[in-house]
Amino acid sequence: MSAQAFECVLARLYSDGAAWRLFCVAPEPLLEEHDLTAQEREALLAIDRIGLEMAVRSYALKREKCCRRGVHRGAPG
Amino acid sequence: MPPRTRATIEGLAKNMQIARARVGSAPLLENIATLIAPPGAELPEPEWVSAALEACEGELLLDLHNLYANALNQGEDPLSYLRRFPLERVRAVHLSGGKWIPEPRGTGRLRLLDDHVHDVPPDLYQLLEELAVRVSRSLRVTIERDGEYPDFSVLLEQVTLARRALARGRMRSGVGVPRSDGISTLGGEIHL
Repeated sequence: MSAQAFECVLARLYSDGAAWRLFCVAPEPLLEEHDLTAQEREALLAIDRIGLEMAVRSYALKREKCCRRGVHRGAPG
Repeated sequence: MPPRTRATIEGLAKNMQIARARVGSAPLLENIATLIAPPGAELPEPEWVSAALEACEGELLLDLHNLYANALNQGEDPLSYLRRFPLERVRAVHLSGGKWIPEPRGTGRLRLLDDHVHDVPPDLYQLLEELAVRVSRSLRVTIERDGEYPDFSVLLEQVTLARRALARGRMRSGVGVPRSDGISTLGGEIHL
């Protein structure tokens, strides 16, 4: 189940602004909420934070555009 | 953006089985663009895509701008990066454009964002040519544009450039038949 927990944290970071902001300030409490292996925790703590911030903003913009158009296009092409 | 691990490949293969059973045929899988190096990766992107397609017995919709953006954002040479992908599994191709955006926090560096609202960059035609050299099957090429549309003649010019790139690749591979307009008859289809 751990692989799912790891993906779950990533999904939260990519799509939940509050979770991402919390992670930026203090990642440990967020990671504690998930059943992660030591290796997975390490990988998340070493995440490319600049890339994460850019990705989060880009995904938010895409969601906003989809909402405005009233469509769900799925993953970017 | 899933982590590039063996576990996500297993999950993908199961999902593909379900899709195949319900739809009756397997969808093409597309490589995606990412501004972030996915954490926890066990495999680099080209090898992960190869392993994923093998596990799914699937075929690839190769988005050349996604590949190009990922290569440049990781400091890799796009042509070398392309050659590491499972090109024998490519069935269709997407071309699009993007823009360079600054990294936050004043690092002074830029990353390439795939946004579908800019013209196809010249380097992509070189990648398409290289692909046509290495893939013998017919390719369906689509130029993606989601907004900020230029004059239609500009889009048609991009179609022509894609046709020529495909033709050059076919000629280099020895399977193309040149026409008077320089376009091979075995290039494939180009769509807007």
